[in-house]
Amino acid sequence: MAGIGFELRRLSREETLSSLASAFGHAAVVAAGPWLFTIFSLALITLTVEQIVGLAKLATFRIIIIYAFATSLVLTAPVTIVATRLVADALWLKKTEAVRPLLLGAYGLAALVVAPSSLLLALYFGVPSDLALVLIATSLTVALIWVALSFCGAVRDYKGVTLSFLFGLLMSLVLSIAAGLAGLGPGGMAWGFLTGLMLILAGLTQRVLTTFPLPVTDVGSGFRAMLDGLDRYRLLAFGAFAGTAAVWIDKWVFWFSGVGEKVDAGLIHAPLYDSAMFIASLAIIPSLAQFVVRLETDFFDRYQTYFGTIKAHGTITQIEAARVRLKSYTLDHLVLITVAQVGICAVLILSAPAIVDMLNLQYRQVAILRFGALGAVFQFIFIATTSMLLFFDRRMLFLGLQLLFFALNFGLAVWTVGAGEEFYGVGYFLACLMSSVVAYVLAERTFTHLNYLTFIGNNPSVREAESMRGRPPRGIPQLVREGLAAIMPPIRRS
Amino acid sequence: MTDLGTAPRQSGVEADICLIVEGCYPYVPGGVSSWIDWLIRSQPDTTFTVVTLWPRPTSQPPRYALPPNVRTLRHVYLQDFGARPRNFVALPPNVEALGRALNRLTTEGGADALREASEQLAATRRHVDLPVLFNSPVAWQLVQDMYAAEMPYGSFLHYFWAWRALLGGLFATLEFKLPQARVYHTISTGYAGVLAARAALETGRPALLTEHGIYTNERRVELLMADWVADTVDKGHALEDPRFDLRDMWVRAFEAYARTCYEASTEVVTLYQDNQRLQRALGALEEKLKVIANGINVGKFAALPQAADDARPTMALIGRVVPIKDIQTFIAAARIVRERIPDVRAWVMGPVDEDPAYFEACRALVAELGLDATVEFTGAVNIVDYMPHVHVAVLTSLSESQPLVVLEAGAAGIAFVATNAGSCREIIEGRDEEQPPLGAGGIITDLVAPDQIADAVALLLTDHARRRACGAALKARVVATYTSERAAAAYSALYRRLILAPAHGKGSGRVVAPARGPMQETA
Repeated sequence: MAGIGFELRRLSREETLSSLASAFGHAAVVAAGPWLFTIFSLALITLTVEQIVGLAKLATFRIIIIYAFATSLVLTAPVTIVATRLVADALWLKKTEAVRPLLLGAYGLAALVVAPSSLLLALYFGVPSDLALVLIATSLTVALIWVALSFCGAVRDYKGVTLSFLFGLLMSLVLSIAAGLAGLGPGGMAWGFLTGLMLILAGLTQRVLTTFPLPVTDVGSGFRAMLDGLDRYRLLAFGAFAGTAAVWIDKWVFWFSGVGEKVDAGLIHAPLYDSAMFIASLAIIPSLAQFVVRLETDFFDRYQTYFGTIKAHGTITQIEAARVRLKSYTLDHLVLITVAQVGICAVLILSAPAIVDMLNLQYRQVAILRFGALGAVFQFIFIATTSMLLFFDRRMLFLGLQLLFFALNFGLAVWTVGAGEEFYGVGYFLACLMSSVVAYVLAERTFTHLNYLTFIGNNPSVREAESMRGRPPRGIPQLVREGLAAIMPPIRRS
Repeated sequence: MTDLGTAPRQSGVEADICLIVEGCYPYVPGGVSSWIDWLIRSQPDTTFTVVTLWPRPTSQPPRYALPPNVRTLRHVYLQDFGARPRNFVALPPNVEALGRALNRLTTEGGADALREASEQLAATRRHVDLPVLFNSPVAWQLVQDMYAAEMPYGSFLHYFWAWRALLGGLFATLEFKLPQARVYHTISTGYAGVLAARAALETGRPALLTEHGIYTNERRVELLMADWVADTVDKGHALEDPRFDLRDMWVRAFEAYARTCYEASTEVVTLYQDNQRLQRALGALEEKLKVIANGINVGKFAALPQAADDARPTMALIGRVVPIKDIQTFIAAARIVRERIPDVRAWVMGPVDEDPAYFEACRALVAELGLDATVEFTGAVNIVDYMPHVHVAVLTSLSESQPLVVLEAGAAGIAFVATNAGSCREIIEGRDEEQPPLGAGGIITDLVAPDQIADAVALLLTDHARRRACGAALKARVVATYTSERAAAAYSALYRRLILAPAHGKGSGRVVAPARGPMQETA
């Protein structure tokens, strides 16, 4: 008569809840960083190189870098977000030996995706072979940088990241400017820039390898783990892909519209729209940084208190109190930071003419810059709230919101292009506004119904049991199963 | 049954007997499963349908081939209930009444409570299917309400999982589509007992319960020994603290299920009288109680020769080397016996691989006591080969129900020394009402009493006349009372009587089928 007896014992293992998601939500915020790094380095190049080598040479060189950054960012998004999640899982399970193989696997996968894609891109635009070569090499290097960055983010190695980037970018600037001055043309400048990027990649890889010194025993294991992870976390992978594509889609619409211009290398861009939008995007950096810091400290405390209260066998009254604290704190601070962001935005709007003047932009870009700055406020809210959802493992909502943002940004950009120059930037602003309102409402609902979601609606143990209905027990990710067994032995044998 | 001329007509009846078994047949070998296999095969003219309650779908192969008179085997998965979580499900209007009814069924139990819960669930099903409900905000509301009523000061996490296990099993049991049969025979209380009670209420056909061990008691012991159940309420040293924790919740639920089953069953059968104490304590009515002892096939044992008086004095324990058999007490007793009878031999006959750590501890004790030449672990052997050399059989178990080894040794005419566990006393000394009294078949001792066991064994090893008298008495009792033919005849008669019993229809007023719900309508 052992039936229910086995089950009584088994219950103790089912106290998993959403703990796995915790380390990860954080990293997802850091993952918003790469896109900012892109903008930041481009701005830096524009500001410094242009003065020295002149606009003509710069345009082709800059567009190569933009293409390399954009394609690699969008194409590796699924790989990086899944790698981030797997690293977070492995660290939570204290399986540090799994990290190195994962890094190799993620590198391999990213290279497999990006190399042929950038080759196709070069063929499509008829890029001359010397420039095509540097385009592919840069795309590959940057793709691997995104991957490495996600690993550093998962272990919160900000110092390593910052040092690598500072040094690498400095080298990039020096080498590309030197190449420009030496008359090596856009190709030479790009190779120079690429050298700096390779240094960044080497630095980041080194950081990860030193942090996780255990040698790789099975080279293929990380690759297989990545493929499994892409399947298991396909909602995440797809969501990240849609999310990064959404950030670029309005630019692409402009490139392929009448506004787009072709550079010598055959690639197209829309400098009128792009440069104003890139600069506007920079306005988000202070708020996002502030948000990450808040996440790291106060939010994370309350988040852990909430789950800690549950795990420490709190009563429902105590759990509810922790939920209320978590909700009010998080939403209050989101509002506070948004208010600050509005301030930055106001400054940007007021000083737009001066900025345009200072950066040698065209005067008709002032309005675009202003709408971009306005949009940035809401894009901040969108990024902040969607990463909140990941903290609570609401992957389906995350995907839905990214698709919504993509669709809106795409549709409204198409509309903008047709509506005329005075509407440039309005589409992006409206897309950010609408997506962020929806995201905020959903995040608010998540906090309101957090207890239900934690225990039933979004509880992996409940979902997993459901997904295995009618089949013999198999298919629980082996890592998680082993990990749980190690962490929570059902019976302590004395 | 071949003769059903006077049996009540029922359309769509699938089998005579619906056997309801929890957590054993046909997947776990031995014990109760073998008994079920025996029961079905002993009634070749009766048709069966078997409902087996199991935690979740399993890839294990069945350990027993279904006998030809089994029509179907169905499964109820107790811990596999619920649909994909649905976040937008409106609360049904009776959610509070449902919570109260479920609370009553899992805390007090009884046929009335089961009927009330069935009615509330039927009303709920008009708004939402149970599997959806179980993973929806409705369940969240229910668990909070029941927690607030039950243990608002206790760990919610523990309560939640306990609630899910408890209610998931209950929902699976109440949602299961019953096969139509003439009699519902459950082999335990627990969820199987609830299912049988439900069948009796819905169909008006009799429910019959056979309890081997007392389910509530076994679960209680299991819960007390389980150190994973954190003490959710810090009771400190105040033993009279009235607050209760998770163990209490489980135990109370199993007791409530048992009460429900006892009340709904027409007959409550067990293996020996001592079990009836616990059944009475949980409300089983005296007139329903009945003992049908397990029997053995005495033939192959009765023909065995007896060990000669001048053969090497031999005591033997037949059983697995596991803590519950208390092998260490047997070893300690062997040491005392050897002081008086230096050439005594002590066999431990049974598998040693089930609990290797315990086996090691036993071997260490043998070495420490210098018993290497006395105590021998034979491992799993055919006991028939060894029995002709055994003078006294011993059982030192801490807990037993109706141990077959006592019957087997008895059939072979071997005198027995056993602890007072399960039905050992009943078998060895005979029931009070035994006519004519056959006399003692051996000696009963206290638990964990090496001295008493050694005294008893030494006495029987040295007093040849007394030993032979005991062996003869035990053999006579086994042949008279504990043959499998006798047990099979008792069940045959019981089945025949219940199959022919009139249904308790709606007119009888005693049990009323609940309002028709999807439960009966789904094909």
